[in-house]
Amino acid sequence: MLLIPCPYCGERAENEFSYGGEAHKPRPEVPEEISDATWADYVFLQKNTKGTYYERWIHSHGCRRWFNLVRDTLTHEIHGAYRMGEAPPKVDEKTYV
Amino acid sequence: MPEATEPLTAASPLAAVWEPGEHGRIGPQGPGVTFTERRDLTLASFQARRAGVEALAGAASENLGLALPGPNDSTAGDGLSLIWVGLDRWLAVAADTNGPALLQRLGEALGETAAVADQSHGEYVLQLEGPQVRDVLMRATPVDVHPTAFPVGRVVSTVMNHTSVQLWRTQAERYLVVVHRGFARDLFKFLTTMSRDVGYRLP
Amino acid sequence: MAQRYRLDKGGRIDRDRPVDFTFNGRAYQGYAGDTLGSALLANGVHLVGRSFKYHRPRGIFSAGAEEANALVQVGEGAATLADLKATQVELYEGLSARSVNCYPSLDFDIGEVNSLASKLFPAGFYYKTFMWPQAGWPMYERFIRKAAGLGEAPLEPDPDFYDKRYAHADVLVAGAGPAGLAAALAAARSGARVILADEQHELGGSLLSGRDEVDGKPGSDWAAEAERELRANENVRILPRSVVFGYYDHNWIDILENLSDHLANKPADAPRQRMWKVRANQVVLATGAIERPLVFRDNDRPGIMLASAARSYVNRWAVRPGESAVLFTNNDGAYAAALDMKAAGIKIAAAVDLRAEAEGELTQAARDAGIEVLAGHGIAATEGHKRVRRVKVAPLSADGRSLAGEARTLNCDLVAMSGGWNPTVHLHSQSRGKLRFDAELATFVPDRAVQAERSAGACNGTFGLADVLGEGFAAGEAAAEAAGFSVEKAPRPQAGNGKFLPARWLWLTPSSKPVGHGGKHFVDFQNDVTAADLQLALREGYTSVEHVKRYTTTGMGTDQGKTSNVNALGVVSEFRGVPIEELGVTTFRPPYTPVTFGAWGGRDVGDLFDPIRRTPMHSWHARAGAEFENVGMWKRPWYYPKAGEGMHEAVQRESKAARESLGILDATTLGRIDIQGPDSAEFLNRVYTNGWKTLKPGAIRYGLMLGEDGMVMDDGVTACLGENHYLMHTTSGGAAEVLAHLEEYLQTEWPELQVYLTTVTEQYATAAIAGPNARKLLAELTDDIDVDPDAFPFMSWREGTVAGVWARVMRISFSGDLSFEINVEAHNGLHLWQTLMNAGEKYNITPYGTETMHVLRAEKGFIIVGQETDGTVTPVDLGMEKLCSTKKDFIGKRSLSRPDMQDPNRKQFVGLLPDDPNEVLEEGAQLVETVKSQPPMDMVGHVTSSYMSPNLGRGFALALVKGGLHKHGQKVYAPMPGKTIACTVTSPVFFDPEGERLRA
Repeated sequence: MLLIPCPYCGERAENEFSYGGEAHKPRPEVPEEISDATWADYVFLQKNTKGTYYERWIHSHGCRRWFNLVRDTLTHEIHGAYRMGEAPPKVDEKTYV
Repeated sequence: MPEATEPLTAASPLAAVWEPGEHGRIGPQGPGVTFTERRDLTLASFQARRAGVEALAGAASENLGLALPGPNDSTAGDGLSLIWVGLDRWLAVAADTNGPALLQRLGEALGETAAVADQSHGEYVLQLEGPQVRDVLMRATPVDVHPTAFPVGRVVSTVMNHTSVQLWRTQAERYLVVVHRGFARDLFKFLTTMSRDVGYRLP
Repeated sequence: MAQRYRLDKGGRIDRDRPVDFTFNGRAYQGYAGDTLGSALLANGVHLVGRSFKYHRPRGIFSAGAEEANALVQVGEGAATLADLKATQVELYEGLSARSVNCYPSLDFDIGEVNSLASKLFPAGFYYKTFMWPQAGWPMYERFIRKAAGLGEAPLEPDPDFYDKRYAHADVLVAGAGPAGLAAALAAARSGARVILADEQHELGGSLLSGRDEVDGKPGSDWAAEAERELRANENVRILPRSVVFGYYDHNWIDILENLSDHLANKPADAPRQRMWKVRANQVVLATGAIERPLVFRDNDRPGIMLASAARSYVNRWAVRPGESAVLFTNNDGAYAAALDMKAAGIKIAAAVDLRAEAEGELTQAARDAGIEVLAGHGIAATEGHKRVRRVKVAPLSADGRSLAGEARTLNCDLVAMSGGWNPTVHLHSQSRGKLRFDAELATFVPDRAVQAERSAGACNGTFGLADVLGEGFAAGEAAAEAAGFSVEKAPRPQAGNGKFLPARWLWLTPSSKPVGHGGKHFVDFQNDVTAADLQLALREGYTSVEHVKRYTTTGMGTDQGKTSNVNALGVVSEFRGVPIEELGVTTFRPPYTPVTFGAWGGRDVGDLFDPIRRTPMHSWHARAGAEFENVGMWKRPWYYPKAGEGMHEAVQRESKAARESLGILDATTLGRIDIQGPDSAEFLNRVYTNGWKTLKPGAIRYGLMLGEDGMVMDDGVTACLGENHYLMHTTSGGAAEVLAHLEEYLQTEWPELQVYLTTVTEQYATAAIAGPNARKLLAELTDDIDVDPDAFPFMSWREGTVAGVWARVMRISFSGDLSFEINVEAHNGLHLWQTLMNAGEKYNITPYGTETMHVLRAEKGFIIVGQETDGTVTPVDLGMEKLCSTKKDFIGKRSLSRPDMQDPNRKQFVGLLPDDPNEVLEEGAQLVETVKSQPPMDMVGHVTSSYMSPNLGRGFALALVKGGLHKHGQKVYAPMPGKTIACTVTSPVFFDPEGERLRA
């Protein structure tokens, strides 16, 4: 069970959280104006990086806040958590084959 | 169908399962923990409006005489406590059973600085108290309840028996668990099952 | 004679406390402090089991967790435990154990015929044999299970109860041998919170089995002193009989503590085992090392055991595991066993040493003690059926691959073998720490740690006792420092520092014939995998270690290859001529030793498996004899059968009453979200498909919520409570998901919106009264709500007093009839319900459950999200396009204009009327337009809801049919076993299509 540093509540066990997929993927401002392909990319596709990944979580059984996490999806090493709207921490990004 | 004999009472969601007496393995020191229904408490939630937390904190301090607690913390005053439940969100816990009065008090005190919602019926408060209370909680939550990590006054929003709860330490050997009413009965069953080893008392 | 092989003195047993036990029905005696294994050996019992595949006689081969042979079934009936290792079972009065995998008895086992037919059981036997025909699998499986079965699982429910506890530690130390004790001492002295766990009942590890001194006193005394210091420290939790079996992410550790398995009188009301789930800031692994067997011909006979085990039996349990022993070794360290055995009066027939130059401190000591050392020799064969009787010993060629001289026979009843040591790197490996092959030790040792852990002592490849202690202290200090404590370095204890080297790494001892041509060279004792099996796997093209392992089942038993993995690699390495380090190593996974299911379940069983949510009216429903249905986590009344009624009759009665007079439904379970703030209407506009800005206080509107993919995710009504104040209702099962969805958009996409959400689901209890008499009943119970249709129109709400308590009444309808949903504060829910029931008696008020609710709403063509929709259904598919505003954006809107969504042939929502009015289609039934004599047929849709309606007087259904919106009047067919049901596609609204009753 991961130990996740909620930016609001501190470190808590994973069972208090829910996963929210890729971070920094804003909803297009005017969806009507973008192509079907771009929209489909927004709705359906995620990078799903094997390595350093910027992802969203919600502290669903805690403060109920969404936040971002930088996590290595292979090793589960967590490089940092930050609030929505904040810039991610500087991380030595890794990807694996 | 054992449930067919359930008592018809609205007084408590635990009415059907509350059997006064001592249960489980009672040691020479007596029951390790005593459960109490805190139906004498009334709850309401409030969150800071756009005016901001500072305005709300000012209103709370001026009109309620209470500081707004920070993360995982609570403040207690005369008959009213505030507990932090999330960013810019708090629960007000009043030591009386008058829900409308609490709503009115909060409304008057906080005015436009907060969005207030009545929780007096939706939330249920169960109290655990006794020398072995920490032993019971260690079975119930992965939160660190060691005194160095969980001092008196600390409150955390966490999960217990698959259900969201607030766990609040109000005295050295006393914790309150706040849970949605509909889950109260199974949470009680869960916590008493976890208390089997140390023995527990239902007044 | 009782305990004939017990030494007169010594050992960590309590001779004042004899313990009676039975094994395979025979009575024996041991002492408190014994394991079942040591007690059996004290009674001269070596033969304890039959091997897995060949049913060969097997004896106790180790003294610990690595035991591969001595698996026993302990206890009877519901409490029986299968496949325990006799070497780990603590002896207690009345213990009853028996061998597993033997039939009809251990002494005479029919399965041993497999041994004669062993040519028929090569590696990959199952894959090769049970291939065809496929339909034969049930038979094959029965055969395999019977032939391969180890222990027996109890058939009755587990009578025991279990504990699960969470704990937190600054430093967790796994293993309480010399390194672990040292680490715990160092960490505890810094003030850190320490957990020290060891699988044995006594702390001390190898210090209990050897004769080493620490600081000038016996090692076991030093261990006892260390334990005393630790016990006196309130920050230290010592867990004996506790195996650290799992190491997961972020230093999340699983420990299984045995609480009562070792007790003759199990205390009542106390758990049997406890699962500890520990979050440790830092971890010190001090898990020791496991001795490797040697691979030689027929190396599995009872009486052949690890040298360290023989030494433990002599020193720790005061047992002579034989009268006349042969030491067979490839290293110097094993001579300690020979010396201790000799000192205990066991005759040492010879020390057979694979090393051409048998040298070293202990080897020399053995020579000095008069033990004959046969350097450059190997055991070429063994004899003896149920106990080894003699071994044939021959000199080896210089490269060690063949015999180079006449064999000599040595009589013996014990062979103590040592092939070197494998550090117990399991936990380090589980934590994803890397391993490195150490050529000097010819084994894998921990390399880089990935998590906050460090290995110390033998598990780290460190074998001299002084070094082990030093490393333990250093690891404890480093761990405490890393956890934020300041450390004062303690002086290291004085101890000898002998290592088990020098050694010669020869993985396969040659015999007179090539492997596979006479005798068996076992690599994995538990799975009966031989060197010949490995060779065969390689010949058949399985070269990767992982493939060889799976094909031959090496290392896959309950011992998980503790003694076989490295030997298998060595043998493969020799066959392939590739160095071990280039072969790679298999990954260790939890659990380190088997864990009972009971411990995993803890107390989350039975009623606590999944919590149930109950409404304030639950007790009334229960007393009324309702059958319940799970909806989300709620228990909802499903139907209320009267005496003699089944579900069908009850639902027909309830459905009719609700249409003809008055029904009452507990609607408390709907999700409720309080929405406040100046941007609330804008927010609703974005999350629902329809428009919200015109909704006035007092009014209610239905909303359809989509995911961004355009698919329906929830629906419900929202009431405008006041200016900028709304109450949203969600489906009973969807409340949590919807709240998360709304919070997600508010917090991540639109933080500029001033909207404040609070879940108030449980603040209210709701009774819905529906039917022609609903208004009359409501009017009787309120003085301050004007129920006149003009004053209180459909889709509005009024606040007032109902049944004497505050209430918010909503005039909405999910039944299609005149209906009021009366919301009161939860504590008043039961009072409201009872008042309605009493006052409604004259209208034959009939409580109805979710099934009738489904029938009524289906008659009206109302969807249920999750029944008519399955995540692939859009509002257009449901014929609800007019609910999708064209004047604004909303979540999911853009997806509705994707080309796939415009396809006129998408599955669309329709009603179905079976030609035979008595027919009730099966929900989920597939629909076709053209019936063929047999599948496959082109499927055009499926039934989503289907009921018998007493109000329509016939069966009817809702369905999703390709292009269905334009197929009303056409025929579709549901091919079912034995018949085909013809239906007509219709509008989904069967009842009151104009909505006159709804608005009455």
